[in-house]
Amino acid sequence: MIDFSEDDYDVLREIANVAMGRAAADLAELLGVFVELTVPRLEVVSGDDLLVRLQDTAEKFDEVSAIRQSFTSAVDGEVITLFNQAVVSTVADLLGYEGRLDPAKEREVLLDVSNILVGACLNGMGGLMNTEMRFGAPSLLCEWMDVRRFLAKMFAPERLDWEYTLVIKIAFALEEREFKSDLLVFLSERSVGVVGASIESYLDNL
Amino acid sequence: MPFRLLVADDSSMQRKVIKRRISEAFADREVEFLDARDGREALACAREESPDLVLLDLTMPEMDGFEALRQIRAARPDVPVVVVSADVQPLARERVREAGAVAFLEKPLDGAALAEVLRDHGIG
Repeated sequence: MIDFSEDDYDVLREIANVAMGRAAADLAELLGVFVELTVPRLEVVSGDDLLVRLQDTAEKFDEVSAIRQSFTSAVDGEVITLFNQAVVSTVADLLGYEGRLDPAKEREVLLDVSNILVGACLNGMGGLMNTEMRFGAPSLLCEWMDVRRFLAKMFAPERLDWEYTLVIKIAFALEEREFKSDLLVFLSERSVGVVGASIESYLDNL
Repeated sequence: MPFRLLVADDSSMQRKVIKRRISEAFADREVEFLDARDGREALACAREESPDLVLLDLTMPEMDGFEALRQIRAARPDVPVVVVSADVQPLARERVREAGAVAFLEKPLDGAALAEVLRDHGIG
């Protein structure tokens, strides 16, 4: 399994940090509120260890809706956006929607917010690594499912078709609101090797 | 007397980049760098080491840059604080101004902008 040095992780964290900042700015502009950020977390994880490594996510949420989107470029992989239940009502409130949203409108809200976060984050990372991202169509993986059940179903080792991945975890929360969303970016095994070269390219441009 | 500059960022790479940029821009000026890896260390260093200026990240573990800025300004109102952050929300910029930061620089860092801000605040 390829892994990175502490210095490499430091650079990758900084790339994720810049990308996260742009995503937060886009979300803040849409909703007109302050987005609280924490330090992004990154690690290369084997398929066998992935569920354990996502324990903090499992503890943070109760029921989640999840959206998956693939991406390709010099690096490729998948991103899963997790939302807590308050996201829909919070966004509806902030955007001034009247009454309770029907399920179709709820999905639209989740897809829109996911699109903003994923687009800004991954385009930001791609830009800093000198590669242009192309995205697949987003799909709804689950609606208000117990987070532990969802993670166990998605990331059971026997279901994974790769040995290891670089996981990037980025958390978004809104100030004084219940809105919580985690972006889980999984870079493919091939990409983990490519990322090393991107780190050098990023450092050269500093 | 060296110019004492506190660089507070959880990224060691970012601290190195900042130091390199400053050393290049002010090659004829003696600069002593002080390091902090989170908001708590930044606050302790600002209190104990009397820096001439603080460069402060916002998204840091332990204590974030917003809180560190408020406490540094309360403890050392004479020390100018420049925020260097990837948090480019307009509200973030507004809040650090209100909390007393003298400037806000976006990451990835523009070396010329950093040098200009430092010149305005006493290094030159």
